[in-house]
Amino acid sequence: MIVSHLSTKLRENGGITHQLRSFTQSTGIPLRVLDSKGREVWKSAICLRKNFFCHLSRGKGEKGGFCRAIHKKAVRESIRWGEATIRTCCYSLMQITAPIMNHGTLVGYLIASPFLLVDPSELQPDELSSLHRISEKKRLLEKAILSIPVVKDEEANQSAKDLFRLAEALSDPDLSCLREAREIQELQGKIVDQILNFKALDKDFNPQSLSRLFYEQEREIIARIRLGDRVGAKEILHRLLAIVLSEHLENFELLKISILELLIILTRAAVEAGTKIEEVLGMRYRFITESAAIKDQEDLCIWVAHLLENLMDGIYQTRHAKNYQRLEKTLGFIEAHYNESIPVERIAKEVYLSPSRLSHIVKDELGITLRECVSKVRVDKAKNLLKEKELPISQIALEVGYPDQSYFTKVFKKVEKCTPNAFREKAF
Amino acid sequence: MNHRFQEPEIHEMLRTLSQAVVMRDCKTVQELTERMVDEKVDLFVILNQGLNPGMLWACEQFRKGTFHVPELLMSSRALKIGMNILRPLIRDREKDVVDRVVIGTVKFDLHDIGKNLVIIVLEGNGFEVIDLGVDVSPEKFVRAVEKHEAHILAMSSLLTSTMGWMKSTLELLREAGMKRVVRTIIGGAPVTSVFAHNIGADAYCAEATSAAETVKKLLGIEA
Repeated sequence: MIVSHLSTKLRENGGITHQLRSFTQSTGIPLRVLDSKGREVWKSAICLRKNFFCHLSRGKGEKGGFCRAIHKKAVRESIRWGEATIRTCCYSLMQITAPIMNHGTLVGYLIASPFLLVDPSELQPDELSSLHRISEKKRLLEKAILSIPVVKDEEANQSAKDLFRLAEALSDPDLSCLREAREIQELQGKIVDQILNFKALDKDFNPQSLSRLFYEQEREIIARIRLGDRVGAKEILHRLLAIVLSEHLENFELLKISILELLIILTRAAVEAGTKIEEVLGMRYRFITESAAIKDQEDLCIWVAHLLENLMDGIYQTRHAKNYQRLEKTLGFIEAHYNESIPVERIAKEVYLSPSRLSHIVKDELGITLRECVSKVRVDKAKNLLKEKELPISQIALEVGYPDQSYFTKVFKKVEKCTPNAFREKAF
Repeated sequence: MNHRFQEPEIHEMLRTLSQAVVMRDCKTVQELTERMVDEKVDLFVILNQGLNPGMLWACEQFRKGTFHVPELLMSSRALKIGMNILRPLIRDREKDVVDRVVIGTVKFDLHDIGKNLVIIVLEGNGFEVIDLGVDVSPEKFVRAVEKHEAHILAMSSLLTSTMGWMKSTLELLREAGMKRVVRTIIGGAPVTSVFAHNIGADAYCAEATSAAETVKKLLGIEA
C-alpha cells in the first residue's frame, strides 16, 4: 500500500518527475527513487543505459545486499541528522541519500549515485580494489567507471541540499518532522564544542574543576537571564549542559537529577527577572511529569533548551516592551564599545534618552546601575583575556577600557570578589 | 637526521605538505611525501609535522562548518595517499614490536577520521593495529580482542549519543572475564577523562598525536 502511495504520487504529479529529471540534467548524477524495501520506483534515464554502474555491479548475491545495507545506513543517518547525507558506497564511489517520509514514517528514499569527487584516472589502486572482487565483470566495471560523472566539492554540497528539497516534495506533508532531529543534533554539536573548549582550557579535567565551573556558570546564567540577554544565556546553557553531560553521561538517573537542578536554577532566575511564580511552578511540575517519559539525554537537553526559550519569551512579555528595546540597544552599544571611554552621556545619546532617564530604566529593569553594567561587561571580557593569554594585567586593563591599572583592579575586585591575579591563578 | 636539507627548508616543506592535505591536493601530497622520503627525512617527522596537522586542521574546519563532508573526505583521501607511502617503510623499520591494538568507532557512530589518525600514529610507533572500522557493536569488539589476543582495546566516539556504547562494551568485556587481560583506552571530541574514569576505562586519550604515548604508558613501555 505504501509502495503504491509513492508511485501514485510520482504518476499523478508530473511536476515532481520533472524536478527529478532536472536534478540529473543539471548535476549529471543518476537519480533513483526507491521504496522503503529498496525497490526502484523511479529512475532517471541514465540509469537505463547498459553501462550504468550500479546495475552492472549488482551481482547475484552478496553485493546487491551490501549496497542495500549501505543505503539503509545512509538513510538512517539522514533521518538522524535531518539532512541529506553524502557518503562513499561499497565501491568507494560517492552517493547522496535523502529520506521520503509519510507523517513521520519512512516510505522510501532518494539516492543520487554514483559520482566521483576526483577524476577516475586519479583513483588509487586501493580505491579500485573492491571492483576486483567481482571478477567476471571486472572489465565492464572498469569501463563503466570512466562514464561516472565527476563533481566538485561545492557542487556536491549544493546537490545534497537540492536532493533534500526533492525528498521534501515527495514526502507527506513534508520533512518538518526531521526539523526536530536537526535541532537536537545542532544543540548536541554546540555542547560538544563547549566540552572541547573546556578540554583545551583545562588539561586536568576532573570532577572538582567541573563543579567549580558549574557554580561559576550558574551565577553567570542567572545574571544573563535577569539582564534578558537571550543569546548570552543560551551559550551559557550549552556550557552548563556540557558540564552536566561530562559528569553524568553514563548514569541517566543522575543526569536527570542534574537537569532538574538546572531547571530550578533557570526558573528561579526567571522569577527574579519578573516572571510570575505560578508560571514557573507550572513549568517545574511539567518537567517532573514529562521527564518520566524521556528516555535519552538528547531529549533531556532539548527539553531544557526549549524551557530557556520559553522563559526568555515570558520575561520579554512581562517587561515593558519599549524599555526593553532601549535596554537591548544599550547593552549592544556597551558590548561594541567597551574598550573605549563610554560615559553615561554618550550611551544615552545613542538611545535617544536623557542620561537620567536611561539610568532610571536600567536600574528599574536590571536592578543595577548603568555604571555597574558597563563594569560587568568589561570584567567579563577581562576574564576571557586572563584565561586565554599570558598578557600583562596592565595591557588587559587597557584592552577592556581602563587606562589606569589600579582602577581596573579595584573594579574587578568589586565585581568578582577577587583580584585579576588571583582569578588568573585559579583559572590555571 | 642525515638528510641534506637545511632546517628552514624542511620546515617549509612540512608546512606545504600540511596545506596540501587541507587543500585536498593529492598530487602535491604524493610528490612531497616521496621527495622527503627519498631525501631521508624522518618518517615520523613527515607524519607528525606534515600530514597529521593538515588533517587535524581540516577536521577543525569541519567542526566550524567551513568544510562539509566532501571537503573532509577529500582531505582524508590526500592523507591516505601520503600514508600509503609511509606505512610500508614504517612497518619495515619497526618489525620487532608485537603489542597488538584492536580499535574501532562504537556502535551507531560512523566517524572514522579521528580513529584513522590514531591508527596512523600507533602504527607509526610500531604497534600492530587491527581496525574494526565504524559502527562496531560491543560483541564485535569483545570477539576481536579474544581472537587477536589484543593487549589494548581502543574505542572512539564522536557523538554524545553514542558514548554510552563504550560503557556497554566495557561491561561486556568484564562479563567475559577479559577486563583484566586487555587494557582499555577511549577518545573522541565529547569524551573526557572524567567520563573515562566513570565508566572504568584504563585511560583517556586527549588527541590523536598523543595516542602512542598514552598506550605505551598504559603498557609500561618506556616512551
